[in-house]
Amino acid sequence: MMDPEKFKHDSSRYERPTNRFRCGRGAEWGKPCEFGPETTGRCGGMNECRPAKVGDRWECRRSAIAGGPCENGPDADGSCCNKHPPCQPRRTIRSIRGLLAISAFAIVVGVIALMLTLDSGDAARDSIIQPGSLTGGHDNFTSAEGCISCHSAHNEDAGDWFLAAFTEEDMTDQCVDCHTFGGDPRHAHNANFASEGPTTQCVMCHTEHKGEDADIKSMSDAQCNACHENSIDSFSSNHPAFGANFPHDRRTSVQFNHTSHLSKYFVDKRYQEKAPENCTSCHSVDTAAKAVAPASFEETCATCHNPAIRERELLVLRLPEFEEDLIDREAVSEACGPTMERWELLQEQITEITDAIEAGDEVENFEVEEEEYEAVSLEEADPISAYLLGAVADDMESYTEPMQEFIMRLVEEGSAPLAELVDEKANQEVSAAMLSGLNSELVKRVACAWAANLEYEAPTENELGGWHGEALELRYAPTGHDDNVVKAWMAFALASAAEEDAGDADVVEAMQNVILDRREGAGACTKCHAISEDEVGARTVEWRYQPSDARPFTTYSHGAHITLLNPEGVNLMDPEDGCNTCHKINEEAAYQEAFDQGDPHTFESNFYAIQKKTCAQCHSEGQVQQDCQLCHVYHADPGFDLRMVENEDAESVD
Amino acid sequence: MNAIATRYTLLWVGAVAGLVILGVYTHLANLQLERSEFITGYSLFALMIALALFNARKKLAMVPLIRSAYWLAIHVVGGAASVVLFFIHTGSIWPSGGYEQALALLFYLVSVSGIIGYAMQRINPRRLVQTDLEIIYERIPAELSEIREKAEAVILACTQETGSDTLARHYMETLSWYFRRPRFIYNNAFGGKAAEHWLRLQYRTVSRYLNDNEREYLDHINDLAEMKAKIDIHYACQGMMKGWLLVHLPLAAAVLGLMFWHVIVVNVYAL
Repeated sequence: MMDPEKFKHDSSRYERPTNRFRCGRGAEWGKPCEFGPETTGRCGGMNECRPAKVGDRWECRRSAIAGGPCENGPDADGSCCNKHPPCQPRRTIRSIRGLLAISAFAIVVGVIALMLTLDSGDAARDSIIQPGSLTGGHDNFTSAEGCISCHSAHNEDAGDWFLAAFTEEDMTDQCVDCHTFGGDPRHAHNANFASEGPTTQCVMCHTEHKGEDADIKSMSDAQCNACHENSIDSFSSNHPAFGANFPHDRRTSVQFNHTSHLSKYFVDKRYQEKAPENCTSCHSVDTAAKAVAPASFEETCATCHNPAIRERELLVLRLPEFEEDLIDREAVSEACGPTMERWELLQEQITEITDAIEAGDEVENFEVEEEEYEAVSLEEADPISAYLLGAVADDMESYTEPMQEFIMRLVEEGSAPLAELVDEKANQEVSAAMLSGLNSELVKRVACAWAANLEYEAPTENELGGWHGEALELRYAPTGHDDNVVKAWMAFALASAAEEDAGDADVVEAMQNVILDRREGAGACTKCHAISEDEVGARTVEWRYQPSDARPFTTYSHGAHITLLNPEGVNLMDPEDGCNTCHKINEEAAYQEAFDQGDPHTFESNFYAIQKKTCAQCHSEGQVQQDCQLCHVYHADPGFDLRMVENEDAESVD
Repeated sequence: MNAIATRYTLLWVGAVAGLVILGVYTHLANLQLERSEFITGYSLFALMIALALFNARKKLAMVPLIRSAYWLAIHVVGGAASVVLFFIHTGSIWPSGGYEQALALLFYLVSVSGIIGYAMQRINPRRLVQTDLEIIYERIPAELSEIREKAEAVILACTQETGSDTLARHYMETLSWYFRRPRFIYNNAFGGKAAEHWLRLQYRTVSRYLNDNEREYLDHINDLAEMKAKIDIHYACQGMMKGWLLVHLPLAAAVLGLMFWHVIVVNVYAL
């Protein structure tokens, strides 16, 4: 313990730790003076006292600590007689600490200010703003414009920065400038659900600036459960069972009965050579995701079904039997030239006239004698032309006049009148295709023959298909599978409807029956291709494979599974037993019935529904992962704005 | 439980409760796809400001702003809580951005220096008490000067009275170095006994060459040297307790600067 007497007021000076300076002598471990430095940092100990003037005398004021008044007293000028050389006071620790703290703060502010003066886009400037690198894709597309690509305040001045700090920045607007989702980005799953969900923002799930390789897409199961009312702990525990027809939500667009083909046709000796070897002969799964589109018609069905297609001709126009001949022969002769029969008749009559002149008989008012009219056709009108002309096919009275007028127009104008009728009845989308490839000269020749009450004689056999005349008919023979003309006529037939006041329901139905005739006509297409009816009753033929759209948020990768083994040890790539792990044929299914009606969602699949337990054999606790994102996606239809693809301003693409 | 322990216990309980609330909130907010960074960030911001105010409080000793001991307790507990809150807020140990890395690095350095400083504040006072000496840090130069003057006076007296210069030469060759300024600073700072051993060695070395009369002066010199050794311990320990702030405070100022910048950038760019 120090002697307390030492710290009495007259023995020791009062230490002031808060002073900014301390005695330089003390700092060098000498004896500090009693006065200490001045507040400005100058030495305060050059004199031992500051003498005071009392009356006309100067008196010593040396403190008791320093020894009290000295013997010599102040000099005559009033200065202390005990002078010492000045020391160099040092800063106290407290003062140094304060200086360092202020300096550190100033350095930080200075560096930030200096960086901000650099040009926008400079890496050094961005480094004091960017909280981290962008992921690769975002980093690339922002490389040209920099931060301003997403942050509107980036290049603004200090005032706008201040305002921006108090203005909410909606990053979703910036995201959807490039990204498209096929729906409102602020709706959960970009879709409209029956129950209203929370308003969403992109940054709720995707947080950028976490590094080039950061995974900004992954979500936890718990985050999925945040919105979903039915909380799911794991797939194997309480995920709902799959639906009754899972994964199918509609009948197939092409009617292919696996049961009958596999058990009946493919084992038939007549077709065995043409039959596919196994599932993968038609279904290429090695690169398939959720949907496995069957291979093309040419690669699959064509081996058996192609030859029959050309035989399914479409009768578009037929010369019917007329009650009377209303056709102007002279006009026909003028347009078409005389027919051989008429030429021979004229020759006979010229001979008769010549003979009469030579015999001196009267030849005035001589007229060519017309033969009595006898229709070359005994058929009734065809339903298609009857429909186009607004007549009734089996009512001679109703079609005689319009049909003959129509034939005369064909004689004079070729195929144009037929095109006019088609345009009048069909919509623009199909009318052009309906008469595609129809040669106007062919129509004229056919019409000339018919106008002359003759059968048309084609110069050659129609071997390649297409439009052709045949005696009393104008026909179209499909050139092969996927024939656009036939597809157009079928679309026309399905789109045609009877007019309420016209009372032509029978005519329309007759026309449709001809075009859609499965047994003999071109309508045989619909033996395979389903005809579906939409919500408003419009019917269309499903020409293309229709992937399921019922579960847009569910994903599956066939490609990822086929290299694995099923629980029985069978490789899923095995074209027979492997596929059978999940896809088991239901031989009892009333598959055909689904195609006898128009609702594609009323159906029974050829296959048993895939059960949840099938997946859970592997995807369960302690086995293969089973988190939500493995099978479900948040964005059903993610895409990019067209500008991202074409690098120019444009509207978004679907 | 004494008042200090009660004070710290209450603060720790409060801090843990606050952190649990913020941690749970962050977890739930993440599950709800909400942004928790706003709440945790501003909580951390407020906490950092409160920690910084401790220094201001020390400068405003005349203002009755709760006892300084409470401020210290708040600073210690709040500082520890800020480390946890920092991880809750950032969700990672090391950010990827340039200035955020600088901010994180400075924050870690401040935290580490704070922990070291707190440890010194807990350990060194006990060591100082064990010296059985009280001395103001700023007065140490004067005390050392006074001891040195006393020692030199003893040496002069010894020489004059005994007529021997043995002790004087010993002082000039060895002890004057010791009395000139604090010695064995680092050894003293870490609790070593080097000064004690050195003094004992010097005593034994010269003692055998002295007669009884001289040895009395040597004993007197030795008493002064032991006193100086205690002051040296004070100098080292008190110096450490003051010196660590030379690191902690500037780093804290830099953290505050970057923290303000971070708040501005976040508000301009992300909120």
